[in-house]
Amino acid sequence: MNTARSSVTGHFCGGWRIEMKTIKRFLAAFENVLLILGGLALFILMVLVAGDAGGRYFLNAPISGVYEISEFYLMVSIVFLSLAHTQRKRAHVRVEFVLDRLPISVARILEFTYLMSAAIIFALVAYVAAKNGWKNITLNRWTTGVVAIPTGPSWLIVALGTAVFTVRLCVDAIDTLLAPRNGEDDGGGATTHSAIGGDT
Amino acid sequence: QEFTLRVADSFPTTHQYSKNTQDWLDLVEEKTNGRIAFKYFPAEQLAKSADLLDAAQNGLADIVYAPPLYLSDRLPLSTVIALPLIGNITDQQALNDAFNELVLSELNDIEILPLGVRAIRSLVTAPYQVMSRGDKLETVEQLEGIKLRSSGGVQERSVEALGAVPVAIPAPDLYPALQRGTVDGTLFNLPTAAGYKLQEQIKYATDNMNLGLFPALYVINEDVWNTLPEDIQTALVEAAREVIPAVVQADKDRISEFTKGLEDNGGGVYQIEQAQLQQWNSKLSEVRQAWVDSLEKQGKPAQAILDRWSDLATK
Amino acid sequence: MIALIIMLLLVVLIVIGMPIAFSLILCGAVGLYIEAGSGAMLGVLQTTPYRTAASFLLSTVPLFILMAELLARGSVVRDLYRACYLWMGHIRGGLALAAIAASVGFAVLSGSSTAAAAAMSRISMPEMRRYGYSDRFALGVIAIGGTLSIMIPPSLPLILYGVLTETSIGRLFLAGVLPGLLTAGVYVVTIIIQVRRNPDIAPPTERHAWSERWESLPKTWPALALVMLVLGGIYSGAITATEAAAVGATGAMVISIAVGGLRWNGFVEAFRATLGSTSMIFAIVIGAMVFSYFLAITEVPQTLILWVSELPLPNWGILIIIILLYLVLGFFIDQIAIIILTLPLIFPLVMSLGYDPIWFGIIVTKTAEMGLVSPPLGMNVFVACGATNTKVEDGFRGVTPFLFGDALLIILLIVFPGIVTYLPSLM
Ligand code: NA
Ligand code: NA
Repeated sequence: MNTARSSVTGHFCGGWRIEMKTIKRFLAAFENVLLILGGLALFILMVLVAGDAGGRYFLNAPISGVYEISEFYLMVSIVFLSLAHTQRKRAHVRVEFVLDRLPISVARILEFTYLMSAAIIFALVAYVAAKNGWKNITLNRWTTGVVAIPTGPSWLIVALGTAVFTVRLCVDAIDTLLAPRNGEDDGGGATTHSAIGGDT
Repeated sequence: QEFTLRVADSFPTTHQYSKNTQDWLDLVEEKTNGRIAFKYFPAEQLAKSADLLDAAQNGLADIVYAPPLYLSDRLPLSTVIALPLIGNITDQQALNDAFNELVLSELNDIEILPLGVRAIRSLVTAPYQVMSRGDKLETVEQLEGIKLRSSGGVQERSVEALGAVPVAIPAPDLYPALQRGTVDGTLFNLPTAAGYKLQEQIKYATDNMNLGLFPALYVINEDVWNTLPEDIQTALVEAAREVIPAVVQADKDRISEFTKGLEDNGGGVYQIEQAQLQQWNSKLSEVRQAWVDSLEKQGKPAQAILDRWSDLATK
Repeated sequence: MIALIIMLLLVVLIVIGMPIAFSLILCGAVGLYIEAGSGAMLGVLQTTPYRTAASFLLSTVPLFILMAELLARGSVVRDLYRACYLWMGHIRGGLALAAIAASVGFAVLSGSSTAAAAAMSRISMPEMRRYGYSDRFALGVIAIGGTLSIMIPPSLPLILYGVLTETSIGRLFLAGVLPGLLTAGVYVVTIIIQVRRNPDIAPPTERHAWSERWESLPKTWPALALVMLVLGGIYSGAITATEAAAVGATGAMVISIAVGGLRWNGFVEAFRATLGSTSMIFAIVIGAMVFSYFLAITEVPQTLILWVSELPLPNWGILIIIILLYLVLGFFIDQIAIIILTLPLIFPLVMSLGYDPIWFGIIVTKTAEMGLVSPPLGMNVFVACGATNTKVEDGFRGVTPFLFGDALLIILLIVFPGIVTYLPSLM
């Protein structure tokens, strides 16, 4: 993946150090938990769909509700629970050609703007997803298939994933501004985060 | 003009429902002497099928296509017409009229208006039939253990109740699945099946059953509706009814096309005998009962709606 | 006017380095706010991310990536490469030819070119370096070989194309077979020409004994078993194309653990990498959907289609303009995003010109292959260079000769559409 190399992210400094450190440690730990849940969803998706096909072919006994569970719960978990972790690894694709040739201070201001505007948008996504999830739960909405499935909680998965992603974007944005002014740093953003997060 | 409304649905511009929608909108403009105009966005340009209802609620569009079967969590009662073997009739115009009556009265009052939208137009597909790539399927015993594609929801329950194995396959992949024998057959309606060219892979299809209908609603944002003068409101609803015969005729043409395809394969359409139909019905009654039970448990007047629909559909 | 400003803003943001997913969703949301109000904007932000992810058809995306990641971390693909290398290594440029052959094998199993490039660079780069191949040449071969994964079925872009245009995915896959093999052939010819003209880039290696060659073949059985499982499963009718991804991933996991030396760490890494790629791809897809809803409401697509279709050009002239548009977009934008962003606009237009939907799907995929390795945004080059710790510029120089080959092939497919449509027509 083409990750934004460390040029625009880096260390934090001054009085912020302690608080930021704590926030980051909690955030990274939380992201790791979400990532594990996402991985679990991926594993279940693989086993369920393959099991459904195999059961149908060999035993004439497919698994009911695979389609709906895959859509409403597994796919939603796979995509949204890993968003924040992907940002921590700076793995969202971008064109770096121009950014790399700008003075580091300009690049940092740009990076800060990118991250904060994305944070605003994804905060909105989290808010409306949570609102709708809550509404579906209070109105007790279920699908009407062989296996009935409540739709509300799956919206809350989206809300959770995008909310954590929003926090990650804000933390990275602050990080970018607080990075030392003397240009190239030694390992930078992604590595610093990984070290703090324990990364497992 | 005084009003310009955005109309959105999910049908490709080549689909007959899309053409029929264009006819409807043209007719409304004509009836109102151009006091209202429409911007029409077909083919999921503004939202996916399952999100179109939201688009009407939040103002992205004014009038949208709302398919109850994809919105069964929000429009559960409107899926009543997808239940099997009710009023076993094959007159599509009559079915359309009956559903339109149910929609504009009970369904609007009970579950559509509370969502902030109002149904003003409804369509139903031709009744779903059993289709097979091999032998004729005439008795319930023959259905035991064979694999039939269903599009989920109530249909999946029907397949299971009949003793067959339901297989969920997205519509675009149905053709190769039939070709390779991933499924032995499918529940489908004849005209739509012709749209996917399934007659190339199907040999036999029933034509006297009603294994459910696919309902289509067009709903308008209620606030927008209330800004419209009464004569425009009336024009919208009336024009919607007046273009139905055209879509019914188009369906008939496709049914002939489909039937001819089956005959080219050495097969054709056939009828299930009355005595057999009784047996199918006794198996399928549990599907209707399960639908009623699960919705009544949520406090919804499912039995009343089912009874009303039975009345209307057999009238 | 607003549409034009927002589109310009999108291009500028992407060029000055805002992550593509963020640029798309930001511009789309701002545009919707201006055009349709805050209710509509919030509505789209509510439904689009959810609905895009909650798709059974798109479940093939993470599953095919997982399959490739699992294979790349065990010895299955390495054994396949070793067999190709023992049989062809002694020919001048033989290691490069072996890399292309192994890429074809990988492409049959996987629909993700990123995973293919990652796997092949880990496996074949050390060998090519050991025998003194030039880095530039080796990187070019690896990056371009990875693109085969999206033409030879299964293929992620073809799945997306099928979903968006309601074209049969089964037929699209079949249509990709001949162009895919032809593409591999063109790469082989390109390698041979380069080695002839400049022998220094690929010094000869020793000839391997026949006994050694034959002994390498049995070791490829896990890879062949997987191919049988997936392709046999699909074509015998046991499983659907959508299910093939899950069956393939399960098979890859079982085989890699049982005989491919996959350990717990590799297993965890495969899942982690898959989640990363998946959320990255879906973020772009979601952004592209939001942006396309904004575009639709401004009626730009309709206007553009009308404008292009009324150009005083023959049908093929308009088609050429469209293909050039895809190639130019491919310089800057992710291939998946291009397909989703443009198809709702372009597909109806191309259909109105009377071209075959399956054939156009293959043409779009061909341009996507080129986009994967063309600068400045060439995912495969980034992946290959990232995995081998080499300079991106070298990678881009290395693939340039292959890009010319690809361009010739597109012309061939336009002149002889039967290459694409023959196999699906047998269905
Ligand atoms: Na492939
Ligand atoms: Na490119």
